[in-house]
Amino acid sequence: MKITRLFLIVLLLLAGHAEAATISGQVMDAISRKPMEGIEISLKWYGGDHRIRDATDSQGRFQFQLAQMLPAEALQRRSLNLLFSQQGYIAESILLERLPDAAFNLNHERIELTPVEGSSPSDPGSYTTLYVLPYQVPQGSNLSDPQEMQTLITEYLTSGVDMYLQEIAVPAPIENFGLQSLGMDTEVKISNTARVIDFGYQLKDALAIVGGRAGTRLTDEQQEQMEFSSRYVIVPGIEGQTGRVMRWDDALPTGLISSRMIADRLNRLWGRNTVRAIALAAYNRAMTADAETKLVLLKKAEEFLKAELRDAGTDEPLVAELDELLQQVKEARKP
Amino acid sequence: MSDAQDSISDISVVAETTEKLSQFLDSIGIELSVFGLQFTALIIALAAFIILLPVAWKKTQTARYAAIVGLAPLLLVIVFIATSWLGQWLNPLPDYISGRVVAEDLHDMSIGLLGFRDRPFAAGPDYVDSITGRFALNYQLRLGDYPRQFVLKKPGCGDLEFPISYSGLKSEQRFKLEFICRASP
Repeated sequence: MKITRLFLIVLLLLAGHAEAATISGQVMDAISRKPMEGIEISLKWYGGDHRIRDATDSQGRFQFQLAQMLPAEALQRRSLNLLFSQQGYIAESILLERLPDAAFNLNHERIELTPVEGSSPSDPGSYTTLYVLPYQVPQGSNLSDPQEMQTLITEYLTSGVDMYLQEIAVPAPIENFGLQSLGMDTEVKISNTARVIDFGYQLKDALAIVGGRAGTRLTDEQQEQMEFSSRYVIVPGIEGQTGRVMRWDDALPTGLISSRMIADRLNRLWGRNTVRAIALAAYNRAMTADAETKLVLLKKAEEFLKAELRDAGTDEPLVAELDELLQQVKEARKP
Repeated sequence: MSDAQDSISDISVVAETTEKLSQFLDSIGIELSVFGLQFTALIIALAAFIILLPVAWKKTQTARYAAIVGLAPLLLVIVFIATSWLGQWLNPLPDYISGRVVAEDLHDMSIGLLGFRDRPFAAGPDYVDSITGRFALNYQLRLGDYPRQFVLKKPGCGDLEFPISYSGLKSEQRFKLEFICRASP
Protein backbone atom coordinates (compact mmCIF):
# COMPACT_ATOMS: atom_id res chain seq x y z
CA MET A 1 0.00 0.00 0.00
CA LYS A 2 2.79 2.35 1.00
CA ILE A 3 4.71 1.48 -2.14
CA THR A 4 1.66 2.18 -4.30
CA ARG A 5 1.18 5.57 -2.62
CA LEU A 6 4.82 6.45 -3.07
CA PHE A 7 4.64 5.43 -6.71
CA LEU A 8 1.60 7.66 -7.22
CA ILE A 9 3.36 10.62 -5.57
CA VAL A 10 6.39 10.14 -7.81
CA LEU A 11 4.12 9.94 -10.85
CA LEU A 12 2.36 13.16 -9.86
CA LEU A 13 5.69 14.94 -9.33
CA LEU A 14 6.94 13.83 -12.70
CA ALA A 15 3.72 14.86 -14.41
CA GLY A 16 3.95 18.23 -12.71
CA HIS A 17 7.54 18.60 -13.91
CA ALA A 18 6.59 17.81 -17.50
CA GLU A 19 3.70 20.23 -17.44
CA ALA A 20 5.73 23.06 -15.91
CA ALA A 21 7.60 23.57 -19.20
CA THR A 22 7.82 27.17 -20.27
CA ILE A 23 8.70 27.76 -23.88
CA SER A 24 10.30 31.09 -24.68
CA GLY A 25 12.50 32.69 -27.28
CA GLN A 26 12.77 35.43 -29.86
CA VAL A 27 11.84 35.59 -33.54
CA MET A 28 13.99 37.70 -35.86
CA ASP A 29 13.98 38.59 -39.53
CA ALA A 30 16.92 36.61 -40.95
CA ILE A 31 17.85 39.39 -43.32
CA SER A 32 17.27 42.64 -41.46
CA ARG A 33 17.93 41.00 -38.08
CA LYS A 34 15.06 42.95 -36.59
CA PRO A 35 12.62 41.41 -34.12
CA MET A 36 9.37 40.25 -35.64
CA GLU A 37 6.13 41.15 -33.93
CA GLY A 38 2.83 39.31 -34.30
CA ILE A 39 4.22 35.97 -35.45
CA GLU A 40 1.86 33.02 -35.45
CA ILE A 41 3.08 29.94 -33.60
CA SER A 42 1.34 26.61 -34.10
CA LEU A 43 1.85 23.76 -31.69
CA LYS A 44 1.40 20.41 -33.38
CA TRP A 45 1.38 16.98 -31.88
CA TYR A 46 0.12 13.55 -32.80
CA GLY A 47 -3.61 13.92 -32.99
CA GLY A 48 -4.02 17.66 -32.68
CA ASP A 49 -2.74 21.19 -32.88
CA HIS A 50 -3.09 24.56 -31.20
CA ARG A 51 -2.58 27.91 -32.84
CA ILE A 52 -1.33 31.02 -31.07
CA ARG A 53 -1.92 34.17 -33.06
CA ASP A 54 0.18 37.29 -32.41
CA ALA A 55 2.48 35.20 -30.27
CA THR A 56 5.43 37.62 -30.31
CA ASP A 57 5.68 41.10 -28.82
CA SER A 58 7.40 44.18 -30.29
CA GLN A 59 10.79 42.67 -29.35
CA GLY A 60 9.91 39.47 -31.16
CA ARG A 61 9.77 37.63 -27.85
CA PHE A 62 7.35 34.87 -27.01
CA GLN A 63 6.73 32.93 -23.85
CA PHE A 64 4.03 30.48 -22.90
CA GLN A 65 3.33 27.65 -20.52
CA LEU A 66 2.63 24.44 -22.36
CA ALA A 67 0.34 23.25 -19.59
CA GLN A 68 -1.95 26.23 -20.20
CA MET A 69 -2.06 25.65 -23.94
CA LEU A 70 -2.22 21.93 -24.44
CA PRO A 71 -4.52 19.15 -23.35
CA ALA A 72 -3.06 16.53 -21.01
CA GLU A 73 -3.00 14.04 -23.88
CA ALA A 74 -0.60 16.28 -25.83
CA LEU A 75 1.64 16.80 -22.81
CA GLN A 76 2.11 13.06 -22.51
CA ARG A 77 3.58 12.87 -26.02
CA ARG A 78 7.30 12.76 -26.42
CA SER A 79 7.43 15.23 -29.27
CA LEU A 80 5.80 18.45 -30.36
CA ASN A 81 6.34 20.74 -33.31
CA LEU A 82 6.44 24.49 -33.07
CA LEU A 83 5.66 26.05 -36.42
CA PHE A 84 6.63 29.72 -36.74
CA SER A 85 4.95 31.45 -39.64
CA GLN A 86 4.11 34.80 -41.08
CA GLN A 87 2.89 35.79 -44.50
CA GLY A 88 5.79 36.54 -46.83
CA TYR A 89 8.25 34.41 -44.86
CA ILE A 90 9.37 30.82 -45.07
CA ALA A 91 7.91 29.02 -42.07
CA GLU A 92 10.33 27.39 -39.64
CA SER A 93 9.40 24.17 -37.91
CA ILE A 94 11.11 23.38 -34.61
CA LEU A 95 10.93 20.00 -32.96
CA LEU A 96 10.49 19.78 -29.21
CA GLU A 97 11.45 16.36 -27.98
CA ARG A 98 11.60 15.22 -24.42
CA LEU A 99 12.85 12.16 -22.63
CA PRO A 100 10.29 10.20 -20.69
CA ASP A 101 9.58 12.01 -17.41
CA ALA A 102 11.36 15.18 -18.52
CA ALA A 103 10.01 18.55 -19.58
CA PHE A 104 9.88 19.87 -23.11
CA ASN A 105 12.73 22.21 -23.82
CA LEU A 106 13.32 24.67 -26.65
CA ASN A 107 16.93 24.60 -27.78
CA HIS A 108 16.73 27.43 -30.28
CA GLU A 109 16.65 30.64 -28.31
CA ARG A 110 16.39 32.66 -31.47
CA ILE A 111 14.29 31.70 -34.46
CA GLU A 112 15.08 33.45 -37.74
CA LEU A 113 12.51 33.68 -40.51
CA THR A 114 13.67 34.26 -44.07
CA PRO A 115 11.53 36.28 -46.47
CA VAL A 116 10.06 34.35 -49.38
CA GLU A 117 11.75 35.19 -52.69
CA GLY A 118 10.09 38.06 -54.49
CA SER A 119 8.02 39.15 -51.54
CA SER A 120 8.53 42.46 -49.89
CA PRO A 121 10.05 42.31 -46.47
CA SER A 122 8.10 43.85 -43.65
CA ASP A 123 10.55 46.72 -43.35
CA PRO A 124 12.05 47.32 -46.79
CA GLY A 125 14.32 50.11 -45.63
CA SER A 126 16.30 47.81 -43.39
CA TYR A 127 16.60 44.85 -45.75
CA THR A 128 20.33 44.90 -46.22
CA THR A 129 22.30 42.27 -48.05
CA LEU A 130 25.68 42.19 -46.42
CA TYR A 131 25.91 38.54 -45.61
CA VAL A 132 29.22 37.33 -46.84
CA LEU A 133 32.01 38.37 -44.59
CA PRO A 134 35.42 37.85 -46.16
CA TYR A 135 36.91 39.02 -42.98
CA GLN A 136 38.44 37.70 -39.84
CA VAL A 137 36.22 39.27 -37.26
CA PRO A 138 38.20 40.81 -34.42
CA GLN A 139 37.43 39.49 -30.99
CA GLY A 140 34.78 41.51 -29.25
CA SER A 141 33.13 42.71 -32.46
CA ASN A 142 29.41 43.05 -32.35
CA LEU A 143 28.41 40.79 -35.23
CA SER A 144 24.76 41.55 -34.87
CA ASP A 145 25.27 45.24 -35.48
CA PRO A 146 25.04 45.74 -39.26
CA GLN A 147 26.71 49.15 -39.08
CA GLU A 148 29.73 47.82 -37.24
CA MET A 149 29.99 44.90 -39.65
CA GLN A 150 29.75 47.17 -42.66
CA THR A 151 32.57 49.32 -41.33
CA LEU A 152 34.71 46.26 -40.66
CA ILE A 153 34.12 44.73 -44.07
CA THR A 154 34.60 47.98 -45.92
CA GLU A 155 37.87 48.62 -44.15
CA TYR A 156 39.07 45.16 -45.03
CA LEU A 157 38.08 45.32 -48.66
CA THR A 158 39.38 48.79 -49.30
CA SER A 159 42.71 47.95 -47.78
CA GLY A 160 42.96 44.56 -49.50
CA VAL A 161 41.94 45.15 -53.09
CA ASP A 162 41.24 47.95 -55.49
CA MET A 163 37.56 48.16 -54.91
CA TYR A 164 34.96 49.37 -52.54
CA LEU A 165 31.92 47.84 -51.01
CA GLN A 166 28.48 49.13 -51.61
CA GLU A 167 25.57 48.00 -49.62
CA ILE A 168 22.38 47.40 -51.56
CA ALA A 169 19.01 47.54 -49.95
CA VAL A 170 15.96 45.46 -50.91
CA PRO A 171 16.85 43.18 -53.77
CA ALA A 172 13.22 42.25 -54.49
CA PRO A 173 12.32 41.95 -57.26
CA ILE A 174 15.81 41.41 -58.50
CA GLU A 175 15.13 42.41 -62.12
CA ASN A 176 14.37 45.91 -61.00
CA PHE A 177 17.74 47.06 -59.84
CA GLY A 178 20.47 47.99 -62.21
CA LEU A 179 24.14 48.15 -61.43
CA GLN A 180 24.58 51.35 -63.37
CA SER A 181 22.95 53.27 -60.59
CA LEU A 182 25.35 51.82 -58.11
CA GLY A 183 28.60 52.77 -59.77
CA MET A 184 31.01 50.73 -61.82
CA ASP A 185 33.26 48.73 -59.55
CA THR A 186 30.46 47.42 -57.48
CA GLU A 187 30.25 44.30 -55.48
CA VAL A 188 26.77 42.95 -55.15
CA LYS A 189 25.78 40.81 -52.26
CA ILE A 190 22.44 39.11 -52.19
CA SER A 191 21.16 36.13 -50.38
CA ASN A 192 19.70 33.54 -52.68
CA THR A 193 21.86 31.13 -54.66
CA ALA A 194 19.61 30.37 -57.62
CA ARG A 195 18.70 33.97 -58.19
CA VAL A 196 22.25 35.11 -57.81
CA ILE A 197 23.42 32.63 -60.40
CA ASP A 198 20.67 33.61 -62.86
CA PHE A 199 21.38 37.22 -62.20
CA GLY A 200 25.13 36.80 -62.47
CA TYR A 201 24.92 35.53 -66.00
CA GLN A 202 22.98 38.58 -67.08
CA LEU A 203 25.52 41.02 -65.73
CA LYS A 204 28.19 42.51 -67.87
CA ASP A 205 29.39 45.38 -65.77
CA ALA A 206 29.51 43.86 -62.31
CA LEU A 207 32.82 43.34 -60.68
CA ALA A 208 31.85 40.18 -58.92
CA ILE A 209 29.04 38.79 -56.92
CA VAL A 210 29.59 37.13 -53.66
CA GLY A 211 26.60 35.64 -51.99
CA GLY A 212 25.61 33.59 -49.08
CA ARG A 213 23.60 33.58 -45.99
CA ALA A 214 25.06 33.91 -42.59
CA GLY A 215 23.87 34.16 -39.07
CA THR A 216 25.59 34.47 -35.76
CA ARG A 217 24.93 32.91 -32.42
CA LEU A 218 26.55 32.38 -29.08
CA THR A 219 27.84 28.91 -28.32
CA ASP A 220 27.40 27.23 -24.97
CA GLU A 221 30.83 28.59 -24.09
CA GLN A 222 29.55 32.08 -24.91
CA GLN A 223 31.76 32.35 -27.98
CA GLU A 224 30.38 34.00 -31.04
CA GLN A 225 30.14 31.79 -34.09
CA MET A 226 28.89 32.28 -37.60
CA GLU A 227 26.61 29.93 -39.45
CA PHE A 228 26.94 29.86 -43.23
CA SER A 229 25.04 28.34 -46.08
CA SER A 230 25.01 28.74 -49.88
CA ARG A 231 28.38 30.31 -50.48
CA TYR A 232 29.34 31.30 -53.99
CA VAL A 233 31.31 33.72 -56.06
CA ILE A 234 30.16 34.70 -59.50
CA VAL A 235 32.45 36.39 -61.89
CA PRO A 236 30.62 37.76 -64.91
CA GLY A 237 32.14 36.75 -68.21
CA ILE A 238 33.13 39.01 -71.05
CA GLU A 239 30.88 39.38 -74.08
CA GLY A 240 30.23 36.00 -75.68
CA GLN A 241 31.53 34.03 -72.74
CA THR A 242 29.67 32.48 -69.91
CA GLY A 243 30.21 33.77 -66.43
CA ARG A 244 32.16 31.68 -64.03
CA VAL A 245 30.33 30.44 -61.00
CA MET A 246 32.23 29.05 -58.11
CA ARG A 247 30.35 27.51 -55.27
CA TRP A 248 31.96 26.04 -52.27
CA ASP A 249 29.00 24.91 -50.26
CA ASP A 250 30.60 21.53 -49.78
CA ALA A 251 34.07 22.79 -49.10
CA LEU A 252 33.14 24.03 -45.69
CA PRO A 253 31.42 21.98 -43.08
CA THR A 254 27.76 22.78 -42.85
CA GLY A 255 26.48 24.06 -39.59
CA LEU A 256 28.53 26.11 -37.27
CA ILE A 257 32.10 26.88 -38.09
CA SER A 258 34.49 29.35 -36.66
CA SER A 259 34.87 32.78 -38.12
CA ARG A 260 38.57 32.09 -38.59
CA MET A 261 37.84 29.17 -40.89
CA ILE A 262 35.39 31.20 -42.92
CA ALA A 263 37.81 34.05 -43.13
CA ASP A 264 40.70 31.90 -44.35
CA ARG A 265 38.63 30.16 -46.94
CA LEU A 266 36.90 33.26 -48.18
CA ASN A 267 40.09 35.27 -48.26
CA ARG A 268 41.69 32.78 -50.62
CA LEU A 269 38.70 32.59 -52.93
CA TRP A 270 37.98 36.23 -52.70
CA GLY A 271 41.46 37.37 -53.53
CA ARG A 272 41.80 35.08 -56.50
CA ASN A 273 38.43 35.79 -58.04
CA THR A 274 38.43 39.47 -57.37
CA VAL A 275 41.64 40.00 -59.28
CA ARG A 276 40.23 38.15 -62.23
CA ALA A 277 36.89 39.91 -61.90
CA ILE A 278 38.51 43.33 -61.91
CA ALA A 279 40.23 42.44 -65.16
CA LEU A 280 37.01 41.26 -66.73
CA ALA A 281 35.03 44.25 -65.56
CA ALA A 282 37.72 46.60 -66.86
CA TYR A 283 37.70 44.80 -70.21
CA ASN A 284 33.91 44.93 -70.50
CA ARG A 285 33.84 48.62 -69.71
CA ALA A 286 36.67 49.31 -72.10
CA MET A 287 34.64 47.93 -74.98
CA THR A 288 32.13 50.76 -74.68
CA ALA A 289 34.43 53.53 -73.44
CA ASP A 290 36.02 56.37 -75.40
CA ALA A 291 39.48 55.74 -76.86
CA GLU A 292 41.49 57.30 -73.99
CA THR A 293 39.56 55.52 -71.20
CA LYS A 294 39.61 52.31 -73.20
CA LEU A 295 43.41 52.22 -73.20
CA VAL A 296 43.60 52.85 -69.46
CA LEU A 297 41.05 50.16 -68.72
CA LEU A 298 42.66 47.59 -71.02
CA LYS A 299 46.05 48.23 -69.48
CA LYS A 300 44.52 47.67 -66.07
CA ALA A 301 42.87 44.44 -67.26
CA GLU A 302 46.16 43.22 -68.68
CA GLU A 303 48.02 43.89 -65.45
CA PHE A 304 45.49 42.06 -63.39
CA LEU A 305 45.38 39.09 -65.76
CA LYS A 306 49.16 38.83 -65.73
CA ALA A 307 49.13 38.96 -61.96
CA GLU A 308 46.52 36.26 -61.85
CA LEU A 309 48.53 34.14 -64.29
CA ARG A 310 51.54 34.34 -62.02
CA ASP A 311 49.43 32.95 -59.15
CA ALA A 312 47.49 30.39 -61.17
CA GLY A 313 50.25 27.83 -60.68
CA THR A 314 49.43 24.43 -62.11
CA ASP A 315 45.70 24.96 -62.49
CA GLU A 316 45.79 24.22 -66.23
CA PRO A 317 42.18 25.06 -67.13
CA LEU A 318 42.54 28.38 -65.33
CA VAL A 319 45.87 29.12 -66.99
CA ALA A 320 44.37 28.36 -70.42
CA GLU A 321 41.38 30.54 -69.72
CA LEU A 322 43.49 33.42 -68.46
CA ASP A 323 45.80 33.09 -71.48
CA GLU A 324 42.85 33.34 -73.79
CA LEU A 325 41.51 36.37 -71.96
CA LEU A 326 44.92 38.00 -72.01
CA GLN A 327 45.20 37.51 -75.76
CA GLN A 328 41.77 39.06 -76.16
CA VAL A 329 42.79 42.08 -74.11
CA LYS A 330 46.02 42.45 -76.08
CA GLU A 331 44.07 42.25 -79.33
CA ALA A 332 41.77 44.97 -78.10
CA ARG A 333 44.71 47.21 -77.24
CA LYS A 334 46.02 47.13 -80.78
CA PRO A 335 45.28 50.40 -82.57
CA MET B 1 -0.33 -36.97 -54.33
CA SER B 2 1.90 -37.37 -51.30
CA ASP B 3 0.92 -36.10 -47.86
CA ALA B 4 3.73 -33.54 -47.90
CA GLN B 5 2.45 -32.10 -51.18
CA ASP B 6 -1.07 -32.12 -49.73
CA SER B 7 0.04 -30.09 -46.74
CA ILE B 8 1.83 -27.54 -48.91
CA SER B 9 -1.31 -27.36 -50.97
CA ASP B 10 -3.29 -26.83 -47.74
CA ILE B 11 -1.14 -23.80 -46.86
CA SER B 12 -1.56 -22.44 -50.39
CA VAL B 13 -5.30 -22.78 -50.03
CA VAL B 14 -5.16 -20.82 -46.75
CA ALA B 15 -3.04 -18.08 -48.36
CA GLU B 16 -5.12 -17.93 -51.55
CA THR B 17 -8.43 -17.88 -49.72
CA THR B 18 -7.20 -15.11 -47.42
CA GLU B 19 -5.90 -13.11 -50.39
CA LYS B 20 -9.14 -13.55 -52.35
CA LEU B 21 -11.22 -12.48 -49.38
CA SER B 22 -8.97 -9.47 -48.89
CA GLN B 23 -9.27 -8.52 -52.59
CA PHE B 24 -13.04 -8.91 -52.46
CA LEU B 25 -13.28 -6.69 -49.39
CA ASP B 26 -10.95 -4.17 -51.03
CA SER B 27 -13.25 -4.10 -54.07
CA ILE B 28 -16.23 -3.15 -51.92
CA GLY B 29 -14.20 -0.52 -50.07
CA ILE B 30 -13.30 -2.44 -46.93
CA GLU B 31 -9.58 -2.50 -46.18
CA LEU B 32 -8.70 -5.56 -44.15
CA SER B 33 -6.12 -4.74 -41.50
CA VAL B 34 -3.07 -6.92 -40.95
CA PHE B 35 -4.77 -8.22 -37.84
CA GLY B 36 -7.89 -8.96 -39.93
CA LEU B 37 -5.80 -10.81 -42.51
CA GLN B 38 -3.99 -12.82 -39.86
CA PHE B 39 -7.26 -13.55 -38.11
CA THR B 40 -8.83 -14.75 -41.37
CA ALA B 41 -5.79 -16.92 -42.13
CA LEU B 42 -5.95 -18.33 -38.60
CA ILE B 43 -9.64 -19.22 -38.92
CA ILE B 44 -9.10 -20.84 -42.34
CA ALA B 45 -6.05 -22.77 -41.12
CA LEU B 46 -7.91 -23.90 -38.01
CA ALA B 47 -10.92 -24.95 -40.08
CA ALA B 48 -8.69 -26.86 -42.51
CA PHE B 49 -6.91 -28.52 -39.62
CA ILE B 50 -10.16 -29.52 -37.92
CA ILE B 51 -11.57 -30.91 -41.19
CA LEU B 52 -8.41 -32.71 -42.29
CA LEU B 53 -7.42 -34.23 -38.94
CA PRO B 54 -10.35 -36.74 -38.78
CA VAL B 55 -9.76 -37.57 -42.45
CA ALA B 56 -6.13 -38.38 -41.67
CA TRP B 57 -7.14 -40.31 -38.59
CA LYS B 58 -9.42 -42.61 -40.60
CA LYS B 59 -6.53 -43.74 -42.83
CA THR B 60 -4.67 -47.01 -42.26
CA GLN B 61 -2.15 -46.89 -39.48
CA THR B 62 0.83 -46.61 -41.83
CA ALA B 63 -0.73 -43.80 -43.84
CA ARG B 64 -2.15 -42.10 -40.74
CA TYR B 65 1.16 -40.94 -39.26
CA ALA B 66 2.34 -39.57 -42.58
CA ALA B 67 -0.98 -37.74 -43.08
CA ILE B 68 -0.84 -36.25 -39.59
CA VAL B 69 2.77 -35.14 -40.05
CA GLY B 70 1.63 -33.63 -43.33
CA LEU B 71 -0.73 -31.35 -41.37
CA ALA B 72 2.19 -29.94 -39.39
CA PRO B 73 2.64 -26.87 -41.65
CA LEU B 74 -0.99 -25.89 -41.00
CA LEU B 75 -0.33 -26.21 -37.32
CA LEU B 76 2.79 -24.09 -37.75
CA VAL B 77 0.73 -21.31 -39.37
CA ILE B 78 -1.65 -21.38 -36.43
CA VAL B 79 1.15 -21.40 -33.87
CA PHE B 80 3.08 -18.67 -35.71
CA ILE B 81 0.11 -16.30 -35.81
CA ALA B 82 -0.85 -17.01 -32.22
CA THR B 83 2.69 -16.57 -30.89
CA SER B 84 3.23 -13.37 -32.87
CA TRP B 85 0.09 -11.89 -31.29
CA LEU B 86 1.14 -13.06 -27.88
CA GLY B 87 4.64 -11.62 -28.40
CA GLN B 88 3.25 -8.23 -29.42
CA TRP B 89 0.84 -8.23 -26.53
CA LEU B 90 3.46 -9.14 -23.94
CA ASN B 91 6.32 -7.12 -25.45
CA PRO B 92 4.84 -4.33 -27.57
CA LEU B 93 6.89 -2.23 -29.97
CA PRO B 94 7.61 1.37 -28.94
CA ASP B 95 5.03 3.80 -30.27
CA TYR B 96 7.79 6.30 -30.95
CA ILE B 97 10.33 6.64 -33.73
CA SER B 98 12.88 9.39 -34.25
CA GLY B 99 15.91 10.41 -36.26
CA ARG B 100 17.34 13.08 -38.48
CA VAL B 101 16.89 14.06 -42.11
CA VAL B 102 19.87 15.32 -44.06
CA ALA B 103 18.83 17.55 -46.95
CA GLU B 104 19.92 20.70 -48.73
CA ASP B 105 16.71 22.45 -47.74
CA LEU B 106 14.63 21.22 -44.83
CA HIS B 107 11.81 23.76 -45.07
CA ASP B 108 8.25 22.47 -45.55
CA MET B 109 9.41 18.89 -45.22
CA SER B 110 7.02 16.43 -43.66
CA ILE B 111 7.46 12.82 -42.68
CA GLY B 112 5.05 9.92 -42.40
CA LEU B 113 5.07 6.19 -41.75
CA LEU B 114 3.88 3.39 -43.99
CA GLY B 115 2.97 -0.08 -42.84
CA PHE B 116 1.81 -3.27 -44.52
CA ARG B 117 0.95 -2.71 -48.22
CA ASP B 118 2.13 0.91 -47.92
CA ARG B 119 -0.82 1.79 -45.76
CA PRO B 120 -0.13 5.01 -43.85
CA PHE B 121 0.18 4.90 -40.09
CA ALA B 122 -1.49 7.65 -38.10
CA ALA B 123 1.58 9.45 -36.77
CA GLY B 124 2.69 12.88 -35.71
CA PRO B 125 3.86 15.55 -35.43
CA ASP B 126 4.72 15.21 -39.07
CA TYR B 127 7.01 18.21 -39.66
CA VAL B 128 10.76 17.79 -39.83
CA ASP B 129 12.70 20.38 -37.80
CA SER B 130 13.63 22.88 -40.50
CA ILE B 131 16.87 23.88 -38.77
CA THR B 132 18.31 20.61 -37.45
CA GLY B 133 16.47 18.05 -39.61
CA ARG B 134 15.33 16.14 -36.54
CA PHE B 135 12.01 14.36 -36.41
CA ALA B 136 10.21 12.38 -33.72
CA LEU B 137 6.93 10.65 -34.41
CA ASN B 138 4.41 9.14 -32.07
CA TYR B 139 2.27 6.60 -33.86
CA GLN B 140 -0.63 4.33 -33.10
CA LEU B 141 0.37 0.70 -32.69
CA ARG B 142 -1.62 -1.81 -34.69
CA LEU B 143 -1.78 -5.47 -33.73
CA GLY B 144 0.06 -7.47 -36.37
CA ASP B 145 1.53 -4.48 -38.18
CA TYR B 146 4.40 -2.07 -37.63
CA PRO B 147 5.91 0.91 -39.54
CA ARG B 148 7.90 -0.53 -42.44
CA GLN B 149 8.85 2.64 -44.29
CA PHE B 150 9.37 6.35 -43.77
CA VAL B 151 7.94 8.60 -46.45
CA LEU B 152 9.45 12.07 -46.81
CA LYS B 153 7.45 14.74 -48.60
CA LYS B 154 8.48 18.16 -49.78
CA PRO B 155 6.56 20.43 -52.12
CA GLY B 156 8.10 20.38 -55.60
CA CYS B 157 9.99 17.15 -54.93
CA GLY B 158 8.92 13.55 -55.43
CA ASP B 159 8.12 11.57 -52.27
CA LEU B 160 11.01 9.48 -50.99
CA GLU B 161 10.59 6.25 -49.07
CA PHE B 162 13.11 4.68 -46.70
CA PRO B 163 12.81 1.19 -45.22
CA ILE B 164 12.63 0.80 -41.45
CA SER B 165 14.38 -2.18 -39.94
CA TYR B 166 12.33 -4.09 -37.40
CA SER B 167 15.30 -4.34 -35.06
CA GLY B 168 15.94 -0.59 -35.34
CA LEU B 169 12.31 0.12 -34.56
CA LYS B 170 12.35 -2.18 -31.58
CA SER B 171 15.55 -0.72 -30.12
CA GLU B 172 14.36 2.88 -30.71
CA GLN B 173 17.32 3.48 -32.99
CA ARG B 174 17.67 7.04 -34.28
CA PHE B 175 17.35 6.79 -38.03
CA LYS B 176 19.29 8.94 -40.47
CA LEU B 177 17.57 9.69 -43.78
CA GLU B 178 19.23 11.43 -46.70
CA PHE B 179 16.76 13.37 -48.78
CA ILE B 180 17.60 14.36 -52.33
CA CYS B 181 15.01 16.46 -54.12
CA ARG B 182 13.96 14.91 -57.40
CA ALA B 183 11.39 16.81 -59.41
CA SER B 184 7.96 15.34 -58.79
CA PRO B 185 6.48 13.56 -61.83
